[in-house]
Amino acid sequence: MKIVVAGKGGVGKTTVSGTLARALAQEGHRVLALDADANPMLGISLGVGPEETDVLVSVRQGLEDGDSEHEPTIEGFVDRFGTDAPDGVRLVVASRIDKFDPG
Amino acid sequence: MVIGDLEAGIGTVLRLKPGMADAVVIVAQPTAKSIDIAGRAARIAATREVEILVVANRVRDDVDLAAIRAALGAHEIFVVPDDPAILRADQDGLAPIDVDADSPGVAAIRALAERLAG
Amino acid sequence: MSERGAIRVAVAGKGGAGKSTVAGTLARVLARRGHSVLALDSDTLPGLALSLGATAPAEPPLLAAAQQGDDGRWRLKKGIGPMRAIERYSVQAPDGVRLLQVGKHTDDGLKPVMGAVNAFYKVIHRLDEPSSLDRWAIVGDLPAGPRQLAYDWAPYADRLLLVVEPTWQSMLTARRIARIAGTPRPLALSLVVNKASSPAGVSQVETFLGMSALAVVPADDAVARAEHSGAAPFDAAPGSPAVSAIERLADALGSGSLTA
Repeated sequence: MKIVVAGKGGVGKTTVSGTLARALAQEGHRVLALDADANPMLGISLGVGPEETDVLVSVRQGLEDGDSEHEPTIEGFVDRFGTDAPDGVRLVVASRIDKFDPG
Repeated sequence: MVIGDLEAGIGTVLRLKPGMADAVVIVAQPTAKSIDIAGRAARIAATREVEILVVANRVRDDVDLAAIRAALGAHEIFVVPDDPAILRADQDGLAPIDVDADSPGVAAIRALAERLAG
Repeated sequence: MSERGAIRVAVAGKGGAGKSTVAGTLARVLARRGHSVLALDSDTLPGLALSLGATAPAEPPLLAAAQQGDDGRWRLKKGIGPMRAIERYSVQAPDGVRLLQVGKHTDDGLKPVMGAVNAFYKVIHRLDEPSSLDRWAIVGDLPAGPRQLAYDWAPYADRLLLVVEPTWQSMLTARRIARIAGTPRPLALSLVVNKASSPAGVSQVETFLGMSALAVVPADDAVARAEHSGAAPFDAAPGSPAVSAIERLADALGSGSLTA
């Protein structure tokens, strides 16, 4: 099941997303948490910790800075670029924070 | 299960194509600005064939809830009250579910989880 | 400061930290003190107009200022310099504040207002042209996060106010913004701690960012209620602790009072 969380900045989207992800994981589901915000903070609400969240390598960063090998599967992608959060949640950050899309 | 925390605003809901999402959770606080955007996001999501659920966040009283219901009452609303545990979590950089898994706010989000997964 | 010493600030921070509240209230404070004030809203989501107490029309006035050429590129119509842009395409706010707005998201996205988005970007890059605007104070409200600064959406500013709540999300965002601010043009950084509820929270922010707060705006129920209902804090809660703190912010920015 694919769930997206939307709303104005600052209303608690990320807090809700992170808590929802942990709650689902605690109920036994396999959960992938995707942080698609240009200012990624989802790690904090997941329990990864602030400083850790700040240094998470994003997918785009990983692709652009380092390996140019293509990852053939989504699972492979998640394996390579994801981070472990508590309760087995896997976190992937979609955008890089040091360079920006015009958006 | 995939939970996507989208970029703030309505641009992302606008770009949702069929098959990208099964459910959209729209988060609104009881402020004029947030309700305006949430209402728009709901209208757009309604054209995308997805399930729509609303989280009314940081609700302090009936007046707050009524404001959100007025704009979004056509959808199922999960009320997350103003919760000291969540505020403390933000101040300390922790996950709310780790600060207090049974606080009213966290419990409401767990109920949303059950609703989505069930 | 402009050549003539006018206040030129942009306001940045995490979504929800209170940028529009601080920017809008600061603009009203300065205007009440006799300054000519241009408020700039570069967020495609609503915010600043409400905090200013202004009513913005559904269609952004700047839509009429630009036209799309055969090559698809947007250009400002002839003769639109900074003063004409303000005279013709800004919105009137209380106390004589002029509000220039970028296009706002419609239910069909940004496409219908791309002319206004482009016109806005071009106009703000012409604000340094010599004109009677030299004496105007400019307060610019940026959208959430670091992105617009990276794309030079605050060329008019010599100072960036980082609005930070005492939360980790807000502090991390401010640090990210601080890291990218200063390119392509120099920008002084100042810290405004907003929605402060304890001295410990303020210290936490100051220590984390390595900056002393230029202003500390307390958590304020009256201002929160004003914002909730879509009213300007300056009108709905003029003597409140938060608005008073923003008066002191204006002092700290060197406003003085132009009306003796």
